[in-house]
Amino acid sequence: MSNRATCVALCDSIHDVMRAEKLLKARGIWRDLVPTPRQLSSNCGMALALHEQDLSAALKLLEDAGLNHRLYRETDVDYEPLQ
Amino acid sequence: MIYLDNAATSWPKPPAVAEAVYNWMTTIGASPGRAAHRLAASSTRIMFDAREALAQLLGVADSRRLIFTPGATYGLNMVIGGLLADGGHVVTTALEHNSVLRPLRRMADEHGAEVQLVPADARGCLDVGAVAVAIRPDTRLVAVNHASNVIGNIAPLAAIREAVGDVPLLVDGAQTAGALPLSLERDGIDLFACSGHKGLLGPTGTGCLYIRPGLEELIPPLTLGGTGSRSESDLQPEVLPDRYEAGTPNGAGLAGLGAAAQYLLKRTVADVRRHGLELTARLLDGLRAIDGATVYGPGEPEQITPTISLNLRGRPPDQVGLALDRRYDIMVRVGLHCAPQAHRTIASFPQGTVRISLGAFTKPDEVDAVLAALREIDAESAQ
Repeated sequence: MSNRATCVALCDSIHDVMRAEKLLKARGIWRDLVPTPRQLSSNCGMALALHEQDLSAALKLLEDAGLNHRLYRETDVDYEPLQ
Repeated sequence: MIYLDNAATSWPKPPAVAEAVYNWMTTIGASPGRAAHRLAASSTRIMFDAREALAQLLGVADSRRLIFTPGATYGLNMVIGGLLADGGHVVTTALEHNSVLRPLRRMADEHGAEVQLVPADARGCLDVGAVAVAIRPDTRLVAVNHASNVIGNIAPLAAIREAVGDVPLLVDGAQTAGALPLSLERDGIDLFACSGHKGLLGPTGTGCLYIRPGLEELIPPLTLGGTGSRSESDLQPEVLPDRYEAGTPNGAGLAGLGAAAQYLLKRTVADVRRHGLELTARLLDGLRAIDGATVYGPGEPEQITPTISLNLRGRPPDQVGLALDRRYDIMVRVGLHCAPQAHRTIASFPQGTVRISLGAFTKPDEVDAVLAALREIDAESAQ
């Protein structure tokens, strides 16, 4: 498995990012707290980097928790929205 | 030294509180919520954990609804200023602290608000029926002191909640957060302001305000500014808690508050309450045996927080307080305690009272020591 994160999850606020991080950690899903990439218009300066293979599990976790979020996949030149 | 001024600021604190503040100052230091580098992330996590722990302690499911403030006063000002911005009728009680009375006075003087004060009897007990009668179709707010900072009287919140119907109920929880088991959402409290440095056992300069869903639309923030979110916009974010938390948060203080909340979750507030009840009964029993002592309030431990006001015959409260401090090394607070209406109610205005307020770490022998000192001072006065 590559250590390079390929996806980014954005939330509405730093509080929500913290909550998402806590939920992902509790479920054992790899995540990294990173500055929100400049290309992405964001509500908040922090984002969570994720591995693509964890996306469906992460997505379910965030939706079950009622956390507003947007997911992006990193491409060679930019980020593309998922969902 | 014996510290019995816990209704103003609790002391000592659990050791973990000072350790958390020290750890934050020496190993973290960065602004919470303002960057994603490792130190800022640590700081942000500490603030998040503090909010989650406090929400658990206060019975709030969604911790975003707990707004961090510098203390109870800030939250009370924000709610009163917001809900009465266009005037309107407000019901409050004769037991309120100036943190409620002064903002209400301002709304009356400058915004045309009509403030109706519900009286209490000479023991400080509220008539819930009078609260119900005071409610009008144009009543915008009911503001109630959960427990008096002068005599400790605990307001009958469940009955008041029922009496006020749909009118937003603002509870000043400065004396009860951490001192009484609370479940704000279960008990239908709409707005609850408290400080972190009293019963919650945290540092000064901390506190929180709970806002029930929907009411945030009626309460504008007192301060606007940077939140670390929606930075491209010059409009304040609507999302909670950002809407109300402009400016760099009190990271060190909140680290301490979080540690204090964790301490209380482990010890349980019910245990703190049991401890307070035992010591209050001991103190009341001892005071009743002092000839010249007048004790204010209902005189029943179950009806009060561990805060008792008294006077000694022939000795002004300031002299008693000075004697306790200089001769006996005992710290209490004397005077009006920022609650002139409460003192008018119990007929101790304008001289005030000697207030003994016990805390989560007060020991039985400390209660015995203040009783012995008061006996001696009283005996001197009688001579």
